[in-house]
Amino acid sequence: MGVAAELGFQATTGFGAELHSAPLRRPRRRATSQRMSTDSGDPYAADLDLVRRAIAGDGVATDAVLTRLGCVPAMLRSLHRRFGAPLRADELAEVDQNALAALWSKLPGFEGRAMLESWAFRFVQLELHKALDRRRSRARLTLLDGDDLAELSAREEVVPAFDPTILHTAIAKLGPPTSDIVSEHHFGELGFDEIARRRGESVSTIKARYYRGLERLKALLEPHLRTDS
Amino acid sequence: MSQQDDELLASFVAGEISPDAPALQALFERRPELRAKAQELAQLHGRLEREARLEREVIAEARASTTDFDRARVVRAATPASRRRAPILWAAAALVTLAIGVVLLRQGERGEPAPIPTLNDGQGLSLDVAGGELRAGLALTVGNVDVGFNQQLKIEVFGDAQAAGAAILVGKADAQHKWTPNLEDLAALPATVFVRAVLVSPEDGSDQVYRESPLLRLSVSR
Repeated sequence: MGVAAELGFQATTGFGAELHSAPLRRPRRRATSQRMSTDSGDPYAADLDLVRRAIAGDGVATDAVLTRLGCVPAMLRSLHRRFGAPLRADELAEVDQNALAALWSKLPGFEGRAMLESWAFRFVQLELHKALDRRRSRARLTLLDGDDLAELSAREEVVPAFDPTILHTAIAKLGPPTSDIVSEHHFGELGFDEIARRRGESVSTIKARYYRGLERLKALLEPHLRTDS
Repeated sequence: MSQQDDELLASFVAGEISPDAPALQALFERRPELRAKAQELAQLHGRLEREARLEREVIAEARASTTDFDRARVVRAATPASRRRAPILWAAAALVTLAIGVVLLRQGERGEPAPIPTLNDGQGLSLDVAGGELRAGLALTVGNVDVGFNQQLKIEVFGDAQAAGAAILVGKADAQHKWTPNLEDLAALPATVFVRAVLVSPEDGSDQVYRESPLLRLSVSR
């Protein structure tokens, strides 16, 4: 029995139907049978297809999506630990709720630009950053009220190089195919040779596009870059 | 700048060629302003790599440590509140617990000692009792557990094999998932007790049991 069915959760009346009413964005590339192959041009075509079937009410696909995204709370715990575990249990529970709520409400907008788990990770990262920012703001206010400076320093957690929203928004702003090349190279772990093979272009062209894309990305990110530790 | 130059610079930025590569040096001599720019982009490449590595590591770790409670939580978040039903899983879990209780009760009636001090039903928690008895200063260790941020791990001690009614003693496991009774804890206990570990969440105003170990029959050593 599938996860959805086990929990009294029917695709035709629950998750699938709820999401079915939300408008679907157009897939970024025309759907062809080739897109289904992870070895062809689009490495995430299978995930896009899975999500679209789940949204359309396919119970098997719904179960598969729920199973794949079951690791979201564990992602939050892992990421929180890596940032020095600065949040209290109740604050972390709030982040968990916010991330899951955002995730499900945005699922119809999944465009297959990343692996499903990577896409979910960005919601977790974003909600955690928002909570950390709120905490930092509160700490500064507390300091103004006479708190101890050393205590404030101790509470400062590891700060990542980028605000995740800015980073992925900036990459998206590069536009296809450059945005896809940058994403696939870094977040899809594909070498330039593999990207060129999948796209049917020369390695030289892919590398040139990557370099020019990186130039533009730097300009987009520059105002938001945090100092390297 | 030609596509060939871009390709060369991309190779440098991605760490595929050394900064001392003759072709690169020739390009920097021809276009000195590109050197600093390429170095900045190499830094950006490094930062992107770190972000991507973080993402991969977190996802891999999360996949390995996902609990049943996590999965249920994700499903619950995806299900509108008005359509939530009484989860069939809980009913199934109750039946399994009842069956285990009946088996243990029958063993107790036949006067058989608990066969092993460590049990694990495959889905639930395991409870390891060093020495097979409850003794002051001797830790009980809960295994097969990943405690969620809003969960608590408790050790419940009952006086009967059906674990009916309230526990006569409840201990909170520490961060290492251990609970060590002291002499005062043991003073009020009968000679034989039944002990289990439970993973609970204070959600909905009362402790909701999400996972539990089988009930162990232990003698109390004072």
